[in-house]
Amino acid sequence: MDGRYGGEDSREWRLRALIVEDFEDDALLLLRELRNGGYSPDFERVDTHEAMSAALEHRTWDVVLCDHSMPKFSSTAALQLLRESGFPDLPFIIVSGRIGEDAAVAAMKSGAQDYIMKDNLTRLNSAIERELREAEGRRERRRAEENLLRSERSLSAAQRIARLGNFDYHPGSDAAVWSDELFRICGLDPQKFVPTYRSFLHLAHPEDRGIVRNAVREALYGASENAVEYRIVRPSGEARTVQTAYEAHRDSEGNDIRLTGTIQEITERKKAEEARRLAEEKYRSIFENAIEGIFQSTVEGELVTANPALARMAGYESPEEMLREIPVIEDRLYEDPSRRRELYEIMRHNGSVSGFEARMRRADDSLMWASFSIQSILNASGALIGFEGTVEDVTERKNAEANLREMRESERRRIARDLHDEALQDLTYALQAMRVMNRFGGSGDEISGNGPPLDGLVEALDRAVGGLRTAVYDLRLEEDERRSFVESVERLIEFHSNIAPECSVKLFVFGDGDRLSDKLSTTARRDLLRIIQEALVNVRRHSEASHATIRLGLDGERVGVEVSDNGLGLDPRAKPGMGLTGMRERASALGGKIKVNSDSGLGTTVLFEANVYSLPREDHAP
Amino acid sequence: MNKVMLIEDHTSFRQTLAFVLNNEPDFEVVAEAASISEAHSIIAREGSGIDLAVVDLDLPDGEGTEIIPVLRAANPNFAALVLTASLDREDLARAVEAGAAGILHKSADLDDILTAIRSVASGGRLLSSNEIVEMLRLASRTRERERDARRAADQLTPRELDVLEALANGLSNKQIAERLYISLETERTHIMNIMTKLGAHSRLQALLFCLRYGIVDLD
Repeated sequence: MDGRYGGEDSREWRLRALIVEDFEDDALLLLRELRNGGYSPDFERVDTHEAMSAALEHRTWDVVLCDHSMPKFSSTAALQLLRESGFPDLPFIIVSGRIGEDAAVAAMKSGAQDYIMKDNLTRLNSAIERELREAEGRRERRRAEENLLRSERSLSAAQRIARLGNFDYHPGSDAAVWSDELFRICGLDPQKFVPTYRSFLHLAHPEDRGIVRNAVREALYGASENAVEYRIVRPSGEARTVQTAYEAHRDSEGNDIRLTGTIQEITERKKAEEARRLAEEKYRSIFENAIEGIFQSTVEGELVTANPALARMAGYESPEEMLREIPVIEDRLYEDPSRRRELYEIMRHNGSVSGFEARMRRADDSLMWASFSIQSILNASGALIGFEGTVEDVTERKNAEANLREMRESERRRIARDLHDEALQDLTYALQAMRVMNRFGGSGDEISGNGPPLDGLVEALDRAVGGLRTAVYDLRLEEDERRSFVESVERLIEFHSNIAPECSVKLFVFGDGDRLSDKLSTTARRDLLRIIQEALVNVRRHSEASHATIRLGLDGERVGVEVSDNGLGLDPRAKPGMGLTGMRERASALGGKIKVNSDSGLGTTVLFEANVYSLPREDHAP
Repeated sequence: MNKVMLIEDHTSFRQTLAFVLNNEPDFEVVAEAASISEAHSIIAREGSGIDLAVVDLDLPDGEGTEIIPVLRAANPNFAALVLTASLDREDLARAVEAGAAGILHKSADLDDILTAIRSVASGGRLLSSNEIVEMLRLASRTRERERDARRAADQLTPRELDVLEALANGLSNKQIAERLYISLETERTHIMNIMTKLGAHSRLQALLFCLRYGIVDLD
């Protein structure tokens, strides 16, 4: 606006003026005065409500110059129209021939910016210039106010959304300014609650007041910023967790202090964090305390995670040591690295595997049997990025299986030897004797001096039949599946009685013993029968007992088999042979235990006990 | 006339065989033995007079083959035929190695047996040289394995043998420890050492090894 009247600058200033005036002459006078003042007026003259309304609507104006009273209109009505039409800042100047003091004051009060007498228009231009300037200022202020309001609104919205309030506290005067959201967080009415140190401290959870006290103290004695977490209790009794971050501002002498900061409600976040922490702890606990080894590896076979059980199993002090010592699984862990490649192929095709068994090398180079259950780890797009799974040390089971194989092998060898040494010798003799009789005719009395050879033949054949029967029985025991378990035991007893009629055997079945057949796999059934058979062989061969008792029982989970006799009892120095060892091996393969009680002269008791669920369920090759 | 000795523990069988041979014009059974020791005493009496022996492998006090060199020493023209019920190639190989000129199964036809005995008596052999070489190779392998086993067994200390014997008696770890007045820990160490020395992966395997090679006895 500078230079509008500048002599050098004769350029005219365009002024868009709306003239509300019923006399055209008066309007011309106004225009002349404006031109004198250096304005180049661009105007329209109206003298009715409708015309003014239309003019306001169609064009933009810099100023309204209005007569006080007209036949169909008035300055009061015009001013009202102007403000109602939404032009709060457009300067409105009354130009009037005669106006009373009261009317002038009323006009000024209702918002006219100035009034000018028609007979003294010299003040018109300076009034316009001032009003234009002030209108500009008013507009800017309004814009600023609107901006401020808008930003306050958005700040408040942001605070509400973030559940974050702010404060400005002056310890010197114990006065604080709180944002609305802060009141809301605390469940307080801004009209009733006066925030002070004491009132806020009182708001904190009794157990957490120390935290608040310390935080304020630290701020007062030097800390320039800090963040603390504590609980507050709303008037409703509801506890909320908040996080406070603040800064301390000091004057140049460092005396006057102000604390400004934010208080954010983090109750839900805390709850979520707590839940996550608990879940993690639970997972950790499972991971740390599992009996099975748990691992994760990359596709390339790099061990990424191992739990303590796995480390223990593999003979390492800790999972950390294991991860350090084993860069690549294939090279270090597998006794036969091609097994790992085999496993990899299975994983690539099936995505998972369970019960994969391989021999692994422990830290001290000893070997163990491991059984793996593994799943693929896929990334979000479904690509294979690794494997995870569990490992079980099945060395004992594998050894038991191997031992059992050895047992069975040695049993077969024993049967073969018995057949060879006895039945076969007798049969070949009988065969040749018959050939001789055939060739030389007659009863063959000539062959031998001592008694008729026919008697020898009968004896030999009788022995051979006995031997064959024993062998067949031994071999067939395992195929005797159509019978119930109890029936099979009865057959064992019958066989025993045929061989050793001097020793009677009684069978007692307890609990659910009748239902044992349902609980036993072929393998378990065979090994259990063998145990009873071995026990009876011991009774027959060593005890000289006149009576033996077999008790079978199934009580809930417990399977019990007891064979007792009234014989000599085991001489501690006697050598019962492989029988007991065999029974022990079988018992441990069945996941049970053999107890032998024997007192010299009081007989022997062999007791097998096992848990039904530890019996081998699947049948493996004998 | 060939003078024949029969070494066979099944009396009836031996008598039957003697009867058959005595009925042949070119054979005379001059001696019968049911065990190694009996055979030794007979050979000591009239060893040089025996041209041919029919020998069983399984005798109560040892293997019949050990008689063959003794008889050959007494009579350089001596020949032996092994008559056995065994089909075990290792047994047969040992017989060949001991100098048996032929091996025949006990159930063979009488005529085959007579033919074989006659052939052996006249200095013939029932086995082709290929078969003999193979048998000898097998025997030496078996012997080698036994030597290794023996060597392994020789490394066992008397204490470890005690443990093995207790094991053979069917005692549990605890019972073994009690019987030998040692701690369970020591017992376990012994077992570990035994298994290492014998190359066994379990107590049972170690025990079977020892039984097979007679390192401990059961009876």
